[in-house]
Amino acid sequence: MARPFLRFEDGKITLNNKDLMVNSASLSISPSLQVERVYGDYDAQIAGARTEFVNFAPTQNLQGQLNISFYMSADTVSPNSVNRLFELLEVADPGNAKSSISEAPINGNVVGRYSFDNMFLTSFNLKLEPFRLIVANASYNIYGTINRTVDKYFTQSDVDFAHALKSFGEVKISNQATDEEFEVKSLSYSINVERKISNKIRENENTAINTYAGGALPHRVSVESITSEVNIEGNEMAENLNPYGDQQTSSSPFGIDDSLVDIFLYSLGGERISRLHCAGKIQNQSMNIAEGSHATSSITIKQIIK
Amino acid sequence: MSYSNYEQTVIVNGHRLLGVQSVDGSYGISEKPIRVAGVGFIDAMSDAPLQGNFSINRKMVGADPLLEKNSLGKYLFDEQEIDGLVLYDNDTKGFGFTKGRVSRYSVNCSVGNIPDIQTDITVYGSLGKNVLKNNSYTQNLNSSYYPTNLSQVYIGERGSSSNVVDSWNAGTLITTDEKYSNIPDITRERRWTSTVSGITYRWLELGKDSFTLVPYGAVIEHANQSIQYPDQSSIKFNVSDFSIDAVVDFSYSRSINVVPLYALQKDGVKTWNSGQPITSPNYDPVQIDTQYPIETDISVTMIANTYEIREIKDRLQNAPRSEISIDICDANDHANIINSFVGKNVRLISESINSTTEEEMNISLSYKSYESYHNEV
Repeated sequence: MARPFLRFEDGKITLNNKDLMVNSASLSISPSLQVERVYGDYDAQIAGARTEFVNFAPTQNLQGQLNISFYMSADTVSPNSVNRLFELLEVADPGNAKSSISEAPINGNVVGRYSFDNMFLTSFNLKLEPFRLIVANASYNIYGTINRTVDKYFTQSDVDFAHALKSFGEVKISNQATDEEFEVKSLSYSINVERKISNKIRENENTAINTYAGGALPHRVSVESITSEVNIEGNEMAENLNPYGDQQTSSSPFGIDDSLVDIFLYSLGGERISRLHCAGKIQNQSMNIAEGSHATSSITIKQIIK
Repeated sequence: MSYSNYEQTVIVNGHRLLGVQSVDGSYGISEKPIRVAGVGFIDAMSDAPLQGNFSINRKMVGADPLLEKNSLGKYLFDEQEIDGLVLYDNDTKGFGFTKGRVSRYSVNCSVGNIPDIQTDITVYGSLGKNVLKNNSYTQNLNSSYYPTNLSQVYIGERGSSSNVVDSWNAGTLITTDEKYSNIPDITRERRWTSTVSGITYRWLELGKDSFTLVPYGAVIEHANQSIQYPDQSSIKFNVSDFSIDAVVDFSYSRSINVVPLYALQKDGVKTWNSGQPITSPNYDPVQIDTQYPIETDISVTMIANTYEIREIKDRLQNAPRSEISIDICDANDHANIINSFVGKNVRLISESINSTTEEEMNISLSYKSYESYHNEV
């Protein structure tokens, strides 16, 4: 019996020619089209010209997006080893962060029955909650078209997945250790990369670009900024918050250290996976109390990496 | 080996419970199957806090230790954690729990029966074998050296322990798991004669054979409780706003919503740099709170005599509050209250009348009250 629809078990996800353990993926691609309307021929009845629709005209490169959600794991041979995922370790280390987000395209990508190239990381995030498996999310921009390919599967067993039970975090408000009563219900970590595309007129004006469906491609996709952000959901807010986003306990707002959050990811088997770090200023904090629940606080700390 | 139905003991908060009819203990692990595109199912992993349940059914044949109140007259179990276990195989094996919270407590009583108590406990701590096991070693009173007329008795060698002759002869000597593991197997009577004075000294060095392992010895703090049982003449049910007719049965129950709060483990870069995982993950909640109000439901069925069902619109308009007291007394001494239950500011929420060809006409009343945390209503 024919199987026109692809089964989940047969929809392998491959990025940069590496198989990944992804639990959901969303691939989209769309042209940017503008409606072309022009004045038509002379119409004697109105003694003028009528406006006519001519066609849709592309205004930008063909652009798509890939969003994936995946389980992290400790095993070095596993498809989801952090060392193989998005240079995460380097991004988490502020010393290497500027050079680690590559401007080179990620090629050799397959989602189910479709392959594509020219992909660029734009965001990565994960959330740590008690007793939960750690599921990370990543988003990419894609330039160019997609091609049909053969669907594939692979086998995988005995994976040591990242789990919140063995992972832990450390929060320092303005580099001061929080007290014993400070409890964290969840930690959300994200990295966002802003990119800018550059097109060369002469590169794209040659009619040869239309001989392929992908059409014009950006000359360069540069990294404009990299920011990391941590949201702490817990029981306390930072007291004495000053306009500089610091906790001020002295008579001067200057010379106060950044607030620090470290997230140490471990697998359920106790293997180290990754250390995610964010050092910056408190962007906002809030406290909510509602019927049927306890008061919960939210603190957001942002670091400008680049 | 099987364990017959008269070999088990149920302990809650150090009390050996009386009148236990059945105990159900269980735990469940919530797993999340991991499915991956292009692979399918890989594994299933824990994805929610561990919780267990204990349900105990008892006949009321004595004062219930779970009904202990604080100085404000509130039940301790409303806010306090409890621990307990089921002991079997001559109290050498146990299925225990820690950090339990009472989620429901109910009493049902009808004419001709001893009142039934059902207690549901949700467990947020440890649950299973060896929980609450403390491995204490008590004195073996069948030892051939007991009692002794020697003036010195030591646990193990004389040089490494102190004289315990007083407790040895009192038959109350206990020792720790650590000390027990370091002493010889056999108890020996030792002697030494001084070459200078010619005096012979004699003492006793206790070995493992002088002790008996009691795995859960210190858990039972209140083993002997007096048995008191009520009969239908020693149970009093009073409602403040009318004179109640002959009661056929009643039930009293309190439902307590408990909210556990879990937090992430706190640790730092030192542990990370050591390359080792954390030694004690946060399995238990950091806070367990009762979500108020606690609802108390009381229902009573009585034979219709002087009482007449009221008009429903009167109840809605006035919503009067009543006080209900239930005193369950000793059948042999009606002045001795075994357990008592109170419904403060209860509202009548339903009435029903039941008439059949087989029985006398009876009327059932259901009351409900709410207990708040701070605000007395």
